[in-house]
Amino acid sequence: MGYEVQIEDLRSSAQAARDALDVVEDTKAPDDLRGIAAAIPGASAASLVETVATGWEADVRSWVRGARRYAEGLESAATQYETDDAAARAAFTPAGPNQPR
Amino acid sequence: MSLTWGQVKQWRAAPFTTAEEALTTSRRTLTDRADDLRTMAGPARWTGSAASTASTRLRRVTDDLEILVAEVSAARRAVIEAGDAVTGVEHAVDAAVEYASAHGLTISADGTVSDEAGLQMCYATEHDEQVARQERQVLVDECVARVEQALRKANDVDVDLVAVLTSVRDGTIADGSDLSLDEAARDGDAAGHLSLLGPPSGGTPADNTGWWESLSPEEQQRVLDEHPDWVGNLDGIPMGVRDEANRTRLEETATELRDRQQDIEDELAAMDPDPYDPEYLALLAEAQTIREQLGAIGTLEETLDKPDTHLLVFDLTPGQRPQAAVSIGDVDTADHVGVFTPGLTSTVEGMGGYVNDMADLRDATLDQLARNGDFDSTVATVVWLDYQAPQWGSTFSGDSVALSGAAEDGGASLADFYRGINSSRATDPDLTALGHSYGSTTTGYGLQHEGTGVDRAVFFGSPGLGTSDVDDLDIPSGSAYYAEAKWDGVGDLGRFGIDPSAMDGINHLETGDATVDGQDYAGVSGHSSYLEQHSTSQYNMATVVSGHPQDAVEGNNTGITDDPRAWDWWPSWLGG
Repeated sequence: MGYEVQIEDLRSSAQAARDALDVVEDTKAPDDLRGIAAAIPGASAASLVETVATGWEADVRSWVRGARRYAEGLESAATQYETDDAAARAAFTPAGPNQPR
Repeated sequence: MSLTWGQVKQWRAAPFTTAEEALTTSRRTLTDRADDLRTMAGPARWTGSAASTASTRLRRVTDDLEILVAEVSAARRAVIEAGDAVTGVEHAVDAAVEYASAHGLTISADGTVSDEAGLQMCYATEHDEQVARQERQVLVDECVARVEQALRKANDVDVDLVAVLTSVRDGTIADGSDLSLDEAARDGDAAGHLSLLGPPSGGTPADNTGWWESLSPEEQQRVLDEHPDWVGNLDGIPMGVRDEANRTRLEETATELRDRQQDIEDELAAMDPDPYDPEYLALLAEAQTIREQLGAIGTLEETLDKPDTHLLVFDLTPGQRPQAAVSIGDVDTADHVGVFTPGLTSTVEGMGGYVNDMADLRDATLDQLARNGDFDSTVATVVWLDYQAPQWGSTFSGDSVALSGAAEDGGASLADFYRGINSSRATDPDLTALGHSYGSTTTGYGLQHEGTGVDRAVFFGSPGLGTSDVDDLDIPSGSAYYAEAKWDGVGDLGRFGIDPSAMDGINHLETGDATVDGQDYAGVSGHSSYLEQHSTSQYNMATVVSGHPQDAVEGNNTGITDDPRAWDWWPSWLGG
């Protein structure tokens, strides 16, 4: 045993990811940008605004999915290490070069 | 696809402000996720395939968030600057609409300007009707210019905004290589800048006015700070703006030239004087040019220390003598403006005396206004030397005193200067052109251009007005005045058209001793004394500039050297 702290760190990281995705998911940037389209009737930029805003919405959804998958991966690993002592020992010693940044 | 007037009239800057504020909040919310990203990293000692997968996923999530932050930052910056630019578009639209309304013009949805009001009265002569018709056309042209510049600005904003948004859409704003969300925000911000629209290339004064009006106050300040050379000499720009820009240019140029002068002196001191060494000769020539330019600058610096003086033109174009124009009084607001063009041997370095003369003429004009019970009207006078006035040493090249080339070229520039005064103001001033010697020839050529908006002209000591027919001058009938002193040989040359002393249709002003309302005025003689303080000729000019030419003392001081047709006793049946 002795890996509790590491496992708890995993869960904290996963929670941070979930916190972030909740905030990013709610971003109003696409709608903020859409606000200018009606102010410049006839402008080519007006139609491009919708394209960019739609693109951002897709980007945000994609980012949220990525962050969620990341959080789920950490949570899954934490759960495994809690029940599998050997796996936990293999995962946390020694410190390796491939560490999440 | 070009924008239409009908569309641009509906543009509004306020939603940009709203969007800017909202995007600022959104960007902050996203960049604040930096702490989350730090916490999201798993334990440092975590290894194995799960750790590796998590690492890859976290890198992608981080990179993608950086890209989103950069894009939002770029869009936010573009929205801020586009909103500012759209403020300029709104301003330009309002200015054009107000201008049209004030002058009885209409602007259709496609931007066409039509003169519904047209001429409102009958005119005594065909010439006057033609002048009035041209004035109407000038109003239409100025309105068209305002519409065109508003549309030009709107299209420019659109193009710039499309460029930024296209980069966002195509994902080229950022590649996720930033080291932090804050860095991504900074890089995105830098990628979102819009260009600053410059003046129209080869634009008329009205085009330039329209362009200036299409800039927001912030953009105008940017022009003054970053591009004073765009506006310093640009006809159609408000004179106060030109003055500010030119003072900056004057200061910077003076520093550069003084530094360069010191360098040349050092270089020359280190060389053996060799009259056959091209490098040595080139340095001597450059030193001479710089001496002349610094001489002009010195005079201008001295002049601008005097109260209420303004630098309206400052031009040190290589290969020609320095050119400048200085006003005494505020040309942007003055009720009466007199623009004086000096002639033979005039230089910027030597223009200080003319500035004093114009300051005196301004005071004399104010006296005339007061004499007529007008204590409120304001006056500005200008010394305009924005052409290559001939020098005694000139050969028979374009700017020789014997040839009209410099006067014709100068006349074209002068016409634009007059037009610029009118187009840059909401209401035209009462504008008088004054020309002496070869400057009267330049003024004569200038007034042969249409639509200058000049109300009256005073020529003095003139070798000719570039025409022998006063109707060639595009000013109302009876608005041309001529003064010639005794013993002014230049005034008798008749080199560029008939001697104005003998010109039909021109009003002649007394230059000898005179008494008006008990006040004595001194007579002048020769070629160079017309502007002397308390002289009859100065008094007469002041009456004309003040808009009270009926108070002038008439008189044709002809002598034996004048064109015989100017003599009082010349029989009318011989013509002239």
